[in-house]
Amino acid sequence: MKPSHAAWILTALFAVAVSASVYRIPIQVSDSVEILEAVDKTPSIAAAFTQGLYASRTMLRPMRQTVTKGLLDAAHALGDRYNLVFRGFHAATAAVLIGLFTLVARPRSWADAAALAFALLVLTGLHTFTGMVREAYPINHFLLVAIYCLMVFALAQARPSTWLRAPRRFDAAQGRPQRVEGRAKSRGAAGLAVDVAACACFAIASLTLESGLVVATVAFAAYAAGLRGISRGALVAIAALTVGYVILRVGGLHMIGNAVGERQTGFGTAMLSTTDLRVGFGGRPWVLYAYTILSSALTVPLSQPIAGQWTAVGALKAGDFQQLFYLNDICTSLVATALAVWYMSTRGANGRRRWRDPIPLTSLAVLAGSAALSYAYAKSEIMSAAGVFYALVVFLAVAELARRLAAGTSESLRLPVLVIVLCISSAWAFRAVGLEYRLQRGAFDARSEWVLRMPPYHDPPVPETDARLTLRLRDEALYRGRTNPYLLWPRFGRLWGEN
Amino acid sequence: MDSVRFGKLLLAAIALPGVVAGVMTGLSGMSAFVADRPLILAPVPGSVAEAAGNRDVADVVVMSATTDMNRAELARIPLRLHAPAMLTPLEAAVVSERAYMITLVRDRGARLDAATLRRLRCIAQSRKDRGTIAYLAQLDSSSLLCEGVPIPY
Repeated sequence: MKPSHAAWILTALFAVAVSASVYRIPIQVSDSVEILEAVDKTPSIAAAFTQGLYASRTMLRPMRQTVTKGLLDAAHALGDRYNLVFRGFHAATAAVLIGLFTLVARPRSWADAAALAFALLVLTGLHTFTGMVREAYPINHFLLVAIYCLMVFALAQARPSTWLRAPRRFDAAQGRPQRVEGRAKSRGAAGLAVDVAACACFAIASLTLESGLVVATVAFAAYAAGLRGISRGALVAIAALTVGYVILRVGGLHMIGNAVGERQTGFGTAMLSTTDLRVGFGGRPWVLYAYTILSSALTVPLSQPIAGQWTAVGALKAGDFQQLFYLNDICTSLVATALAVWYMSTRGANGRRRWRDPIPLTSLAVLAGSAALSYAYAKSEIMSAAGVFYALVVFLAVAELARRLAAGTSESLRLPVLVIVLCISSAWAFRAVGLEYRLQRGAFDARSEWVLRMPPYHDPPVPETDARLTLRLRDEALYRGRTNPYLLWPRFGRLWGEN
Repeated sequence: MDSVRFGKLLLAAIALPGVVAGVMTGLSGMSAFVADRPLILAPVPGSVAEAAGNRDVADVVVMSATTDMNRAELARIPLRLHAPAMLTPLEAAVVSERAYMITLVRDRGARLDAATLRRLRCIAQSRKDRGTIAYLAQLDSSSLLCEGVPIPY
């Protein structure tokens, strides 16, 4: 078996594991029923797009309505099987993300395949990944943005000129046409297709979610690091699309950005309500913005703070440090981050520091870009694309470390090295398996919402007279039995609870 | 250990936990897709009392359509009880320490007469859960005497 085959088999296993658990989560009530009912009343996909343009004063996300309408049409065509279509779509996109991760990583040697096994644990074990797969919105836009980021990076890695057939000339000696030496210089139609795909990814991502703008960062960083799959002309087009986005948002739709107090966010060890935020930071919003940007940038490499809140410190201060996952999450993240920093500080074969290589540089750019876009409130999901690229850097670091350790470890140190490596990768495996627990718990919570957030226990998400889908959605959710986390061994909550 | 063997063992040490996790969760995922039942953290069949005791509002709603909501059944409530106990859904709801669960179980057909209410208040009292004590006190605010009232666990 080739290393790349082994890597893809492992990727498939991770993809099946995650997507199966994602599929088991029913469509949730909050942030879902309203949009489903509203979009279902639009006559066409174009009308859904238009509705999305005017749905909010602060959020420009018309692709959310557009894709939702497309999926609703598919669900109607299949006999109103909403869970099948929406949850199937979410499960499929989760699998696509994991597949793209391996595609971008390009494992070729056995060291790469081993590093990929480790990196998949980092990818799925990070808290920024959980948000992409746990929240059962009609479409999980955070997951889609991470996919667009990886797609654009994969396009940047492409070498469209090599896809073209080298020109042939008739060779009189051979009596038949022969390929001319060397590759075709022109990017040709393949290059154009790559450029168009990159621009389309950016346009769709930016109209899916504000943090979709980070896709532009991926394209520019990859180019700056030397990848030429996306041409300079396409970068100019992406820049023009960015300007167009701003004009549409500010000039055309008169939208405003998020201000202090529109959503709760963490500060220090506390989660501040919108009122607390207005009182505390209304007169000096820059303090909150600076803190939120910094805490968002730290949450990927340190796994703390969570949504701006230093939850582990809060738990320690409250004397509640029994929850093992805090310790495991922070320790495993510190080790992975140390590996990533070490790798980026080393020099590659070309003599330059590796932080300037495509994946590390793009990772830093996505981290900075995503943190900046989350200035008004911190949310782990906004940092999910940064988490994906962080895992890619860890992949490179582990592969490099494996090669160096194999070549340069003295005989007396070999056994201790093996034990330490096994302990670290086991700790990450333990953390990654926790995703399964969190997803099962997510399924239980989403199913429970269909009782607790519905009449007579709660106001309906939409007035009953306007609800065409709600009853069917409720039945689909309730009649799919799910694991009750409270019936499991109680310590699971401590091992893999919410951090 | 020679360097070739060390190199192989090193790669195994890096990859093995990931491979084990991938195979384990991947097979569980296949089972979930094929049989609607994951191998890891699989749902366990339970009674309506067990659902009420473990905050499973959805299962209470689904099961109540075909179950006697006043019958005591053996219920496991790991978060609250060390051992399974024979509980009615209402008793289990009090043990869950969630007032909304008591409301739900009543709405789904459980009878709450004076003797039952007294027993529930005594269970809540023994658990010292302020939420359910206050909820049940709204239904009967008379002084409570729990002598002779059996606590079913």
